[in-house]
Amino acid sequence: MEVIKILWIDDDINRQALRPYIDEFSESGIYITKASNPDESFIKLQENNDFDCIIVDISMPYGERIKSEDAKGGMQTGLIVLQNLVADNELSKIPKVVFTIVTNPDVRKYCEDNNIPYLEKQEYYSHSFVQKIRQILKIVQ
Amino acid sequence: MSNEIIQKLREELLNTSKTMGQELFEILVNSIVRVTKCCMCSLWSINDNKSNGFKSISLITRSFLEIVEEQKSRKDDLLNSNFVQEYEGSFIKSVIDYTKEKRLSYFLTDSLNYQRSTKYAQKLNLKGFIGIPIPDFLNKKQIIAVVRISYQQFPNIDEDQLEVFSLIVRDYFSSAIYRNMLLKKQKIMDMLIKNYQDKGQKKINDIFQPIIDRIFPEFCQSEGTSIFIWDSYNNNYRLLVTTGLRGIDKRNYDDVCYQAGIGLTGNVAKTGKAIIYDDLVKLENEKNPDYEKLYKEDTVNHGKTMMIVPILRPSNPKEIIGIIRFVNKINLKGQCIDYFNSADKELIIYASNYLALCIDFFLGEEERCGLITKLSHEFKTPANSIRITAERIQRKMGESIFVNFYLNSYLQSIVDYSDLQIMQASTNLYLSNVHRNKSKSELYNLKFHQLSEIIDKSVKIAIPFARDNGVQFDNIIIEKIPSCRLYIDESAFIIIFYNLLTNAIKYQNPNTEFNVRIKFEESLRNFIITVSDYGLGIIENEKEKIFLLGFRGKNIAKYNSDGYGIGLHVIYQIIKDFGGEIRVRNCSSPTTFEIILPKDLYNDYYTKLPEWK
Repeated sequence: MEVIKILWIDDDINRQALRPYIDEFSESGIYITKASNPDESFIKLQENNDFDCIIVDISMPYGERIKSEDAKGGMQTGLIVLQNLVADNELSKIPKVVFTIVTNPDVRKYCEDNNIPYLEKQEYYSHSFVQKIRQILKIVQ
Repeated sequence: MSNEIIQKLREELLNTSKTMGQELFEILVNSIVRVTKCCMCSLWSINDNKSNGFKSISLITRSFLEIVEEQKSRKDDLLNSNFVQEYEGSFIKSVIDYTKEKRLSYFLTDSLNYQRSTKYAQKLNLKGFIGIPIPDFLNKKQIIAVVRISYQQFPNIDEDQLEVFSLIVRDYFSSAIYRNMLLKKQKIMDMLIKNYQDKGQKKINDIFQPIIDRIFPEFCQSEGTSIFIWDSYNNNYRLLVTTGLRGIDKRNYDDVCYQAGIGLTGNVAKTGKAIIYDDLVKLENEKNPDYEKLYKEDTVNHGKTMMIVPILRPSNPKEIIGIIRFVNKINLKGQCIDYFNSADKELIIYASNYLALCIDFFLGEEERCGLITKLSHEFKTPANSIRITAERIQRKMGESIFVNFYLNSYLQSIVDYSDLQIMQASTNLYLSNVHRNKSKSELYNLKFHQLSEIIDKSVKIAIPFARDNGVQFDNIIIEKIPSCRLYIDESAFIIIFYNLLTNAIKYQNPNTEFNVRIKFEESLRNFIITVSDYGLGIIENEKEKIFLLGFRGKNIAKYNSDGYGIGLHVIYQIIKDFGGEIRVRNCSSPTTFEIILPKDLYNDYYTKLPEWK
């Protein structure tokens, strides 16, 4: 069976806060590539863009490549990341999922318009999140 | 000019006391025409602004004797020109120069030499002219207007009576202009309040759009008006409302903004001083770097005159929270481009005070909502972590492999995140107590504590945070702290050191090794504690602002989205409450915070001071 590869961009990705999700993915045979900010995600995508899905957080440090004004001081960094991914010919084909703790109507609207699932962390336990991702990627268990 | 005429004039002028605005001045000059039987009477304002060395005069109103109605076509000619003129070389200037030199209240002449153009004087067969300078009601030395009376026959007037006549006209017009300004101020404020009441607490754009569409034009008509508002997210002034911007689609108005110091508008945002520009064309032709290249209002005529007024924060007038911009004033009488003057500036500055309150309230609400959003994010992250970790333990407890390898670290994670959340709650609770204006004795639980123990406890609480951020805790070096028993609040002082330590962890530089050093020094009257790290550092001009509530350094959000500008503000307040001081001794490599605590804290005497009661 082919390994499912996901790029997860979240500033908490290396912290204990997301560990239950990571462990759950690992147990499900899904491989997670971690990027804790947009700059890191850019490098990871340069190295390899063969991902089955990209999970994006919204409130993140904006780093060197994104302007503070565009990212609203970091409160909407994920939105700019999504816009860049959507605008890229190659990367636009990879399914994208927003997974955030913040309820942001602007981002939600953008996701609706671009057919990107907008999921809130508090609504998902680790296993239900993994199931949801499987469902989005239409992976049969 | 007989006593009878003077008496009649006084009666006529007194009848105007209930009117205001353009109507008032029309009635006043009509009265002069009727009473004196002159051919024409006009009132001119002097635009005292001299940007680019240019001074101008504008016609406020002009009236003709009925007999001249026969010469209607000639009058129409006059009505359609000469409403705005250059001051230099005008009859108005001659009046001011002559009366000043001779110390007279009027200027009487039969010569056409004082006219800029003799064409119209000849057309109307004018042979005598009286000019009366009108001073500012509050500053008699400053002439703000001139009344010009023209006759078709040179008036045979007794000098004494002319003196009395001109004094009456002078004083009445001076007080009328002043009274008119007061009434205009009252009316514009009434309209602004009514507009606010009508709109209730709707969106700020819905409150401000009628102000530029309907209210301002009644007092200062221009071809284009825009209001910009401070945007703390992006550190610039974004467009709030406009009558229209040239070449910019309404859908893109959200992108329109000015940085302080850039362009004429940005300069006003930087200096906080209202400015009038009389010759935008010249600025543009000279390719002046200050010229407004970015955005121009959509005007019928080319942008010629401009007035920019800052909106100052009521609680701190050094803070500019908005900008009002008018382009191309329209002369009410002639419907041509006019020059803004100090009266326009005074009125709009006055109105800006009310706009400032609206914006201040709006920004306050926006900051409140922003803070709530940030706090809920800060609380939700550890809460969610605890929740998903606990759920996973619950689900996996039966699996021996989970119990052996994962359980301990999962339980530790729950403890760590609970501690983190409690500490965050303590910091935030302190903030809410301070803002409720509680007295210091109510706010603090005072006992004797060893300073070294407090620092040790702070470090212990920060350990999970450090672990979660991949920080080696061996790199937190606390130099020997001598025995130092202080009468202080333990949890408040833990907040101080915990926040300084977690800030050092949050804002560590990814390119350098994490390193924090806490050092203790002593002077005659104070203890000096320094906390140094080799993190991202502080921008030099932000080193005082970082203690403001909600302030985040520009270089910080780039690399870290944690932290909401609360911790340092709370630290600052606590240290201040205990008579101490915190400042940034060094901005980077290392970033050093210096805490100065008075030795008064050795005993409880200081709590007997009135401020602690």
